[in-house]
Amino acid sequence: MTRQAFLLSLPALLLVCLFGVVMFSFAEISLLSMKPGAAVFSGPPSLANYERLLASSGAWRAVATTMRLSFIITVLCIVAGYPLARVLARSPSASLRRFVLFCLVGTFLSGGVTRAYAWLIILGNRGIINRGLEAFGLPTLKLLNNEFAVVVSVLNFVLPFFVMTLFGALKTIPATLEDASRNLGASPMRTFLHVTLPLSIPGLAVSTSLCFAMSLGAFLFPQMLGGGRVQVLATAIYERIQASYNIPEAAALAFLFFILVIVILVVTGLLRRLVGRRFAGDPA
Amino acid sequence: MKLARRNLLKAGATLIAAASIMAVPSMASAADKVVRVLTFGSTWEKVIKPLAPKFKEQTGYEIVPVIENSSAEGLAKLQASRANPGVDVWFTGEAIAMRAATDKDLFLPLPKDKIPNLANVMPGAVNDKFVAFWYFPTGIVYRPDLVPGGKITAWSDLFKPAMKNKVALPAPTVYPGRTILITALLNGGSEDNVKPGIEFLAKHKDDIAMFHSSDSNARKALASGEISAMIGSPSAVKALKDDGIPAAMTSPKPTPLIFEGMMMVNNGNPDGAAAFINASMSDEWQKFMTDVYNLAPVNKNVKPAEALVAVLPTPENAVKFDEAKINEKLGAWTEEFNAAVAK
Repeated sequence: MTRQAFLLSLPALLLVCLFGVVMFSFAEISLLSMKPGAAVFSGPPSLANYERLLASSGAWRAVATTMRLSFIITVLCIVAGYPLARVLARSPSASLRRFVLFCLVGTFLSGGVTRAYAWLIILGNRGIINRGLEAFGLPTLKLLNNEFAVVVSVLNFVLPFFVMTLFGALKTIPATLEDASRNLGASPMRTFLHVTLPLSIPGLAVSTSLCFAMSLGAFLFPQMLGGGRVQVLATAIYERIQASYNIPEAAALAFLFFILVIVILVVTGLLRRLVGRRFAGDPA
Repeated sequence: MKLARRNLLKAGATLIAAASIMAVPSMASAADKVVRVLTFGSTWEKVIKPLAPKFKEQTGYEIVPVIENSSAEGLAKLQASRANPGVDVWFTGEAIAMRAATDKDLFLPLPKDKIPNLANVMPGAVNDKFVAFWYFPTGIVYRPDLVPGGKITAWSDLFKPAMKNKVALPAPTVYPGRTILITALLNGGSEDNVKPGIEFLAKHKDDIAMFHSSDSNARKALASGEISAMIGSPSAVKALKDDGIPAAMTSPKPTPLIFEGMMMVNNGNPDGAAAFINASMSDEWQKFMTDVYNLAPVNKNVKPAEALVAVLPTPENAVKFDEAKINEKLGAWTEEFNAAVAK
């Protein structure tokens, strides 16, 4: 690395170091303990918080719910996001591309809280969907304060990130390869399955990892739209501080969460390399 | 593009100069008499902000608000910056205040000689480190236009089939543990045995619209008609009525009373903090608070607002819990509650 390159990357390196310091202080606090009813935590350092968490059915339930919802959201992201990214990358209609881009950027620009309130209005007992059902004489549905509301709202949040990331990857696939396939007699579906999809898998792996990681850390939407019934890891950490002010245990849970995310990212990174080698010849 | 060392130095010098310019006003204001108050947004807007100009005239102190979303968040911030908390007075509920009082370095005992208005405070609303600004019942706030018969009179009304998916109950972290405690008392339990309450909530979990983690979110749901009733305070009734939405409140047996108030932070400005707390306990501030906020005054000389009198519980319906016990057990209760109602 040249001196200039080092100087240019210094701010980013300092930022990464700062994250490291934060995680270290989390780990340090997580070894302390707190007397019930007090506000001061103290030593000696021990692994008691970790032992308690690993034996807690509530913590494991939060892990299971987080993983399950993140998986569902990621699958839905692929199903809904891939066609959108493809439209953005390949549609011959400029107005359609602009429309999709406008919708995605519009979603980007509206903040999380705004979107959460919007979903409260849409999914509520008196929301647009239930009023529509009532207008047709159909029974209303309980769409709010449950996992459904959380999945829909988090999906709405992560979908633009997924689509924009995948769009970049799809854009790099030469259209001439698809044209060649079509000229050699392959149907559009066969061209997609045998040319476009394999070449897009490295990009798909990156956008899927991003989508999964973002879903894992979701807090606002489960908190606002889960109705107190959807306990994910982020809300479980928050609750430990709000209910018992047990910052050492919350720090331990946050640190375990961090390790879980690292493990998932390492595994997905390895998978990405494998599919990259298999389908694109290069690591993704 | 090459970035020469000279250009980097220039950029650094410019940044330092800009930072110095920005620092000038804050250095100048440090010389002024200021009392910094960590409080809730609605308390600042509705109660303190309108009274601040007169307070400055009378005492010379300018009130600078620092907004917190919850008491626990406020305490975490104060502890994280304990060497220089930057706040002189902290607003919190009684339960967290009792917890915070164990932090002997961060919170100061109230200097009673500098707060003469403490003499007018009702018994039970003040201790060595905490004084309540107000108290309120956590009863049933409802929309008369949306509930069957237009009226709710008992806790059991909330669990009738006609109210299915129309009721919001606070999660254990809101109004610390009150949902669990009320249902425990209704089902033969007590502060020492909340199991009957949690079992009751588990049985009715699908009848409840939401276990809300924010009072204002539940109030918005009530305003929109998403729900018809919630456990809440008289200030919620006032806020809804001020917006032209029909609202009423009832305080059946058992209705818990909650005290919320202030603690003095060890921030090097005990005189400013004492001046603020003394003003808060004055007849004038207490009268203003009860009229605009619809919460009960702790000053014995001040009568509760007219709108409030009708919803305050009778002495036999009111119940006061042991906050120290709640502090000690709330974490475990929350775990049990989540196991019963959450997925």
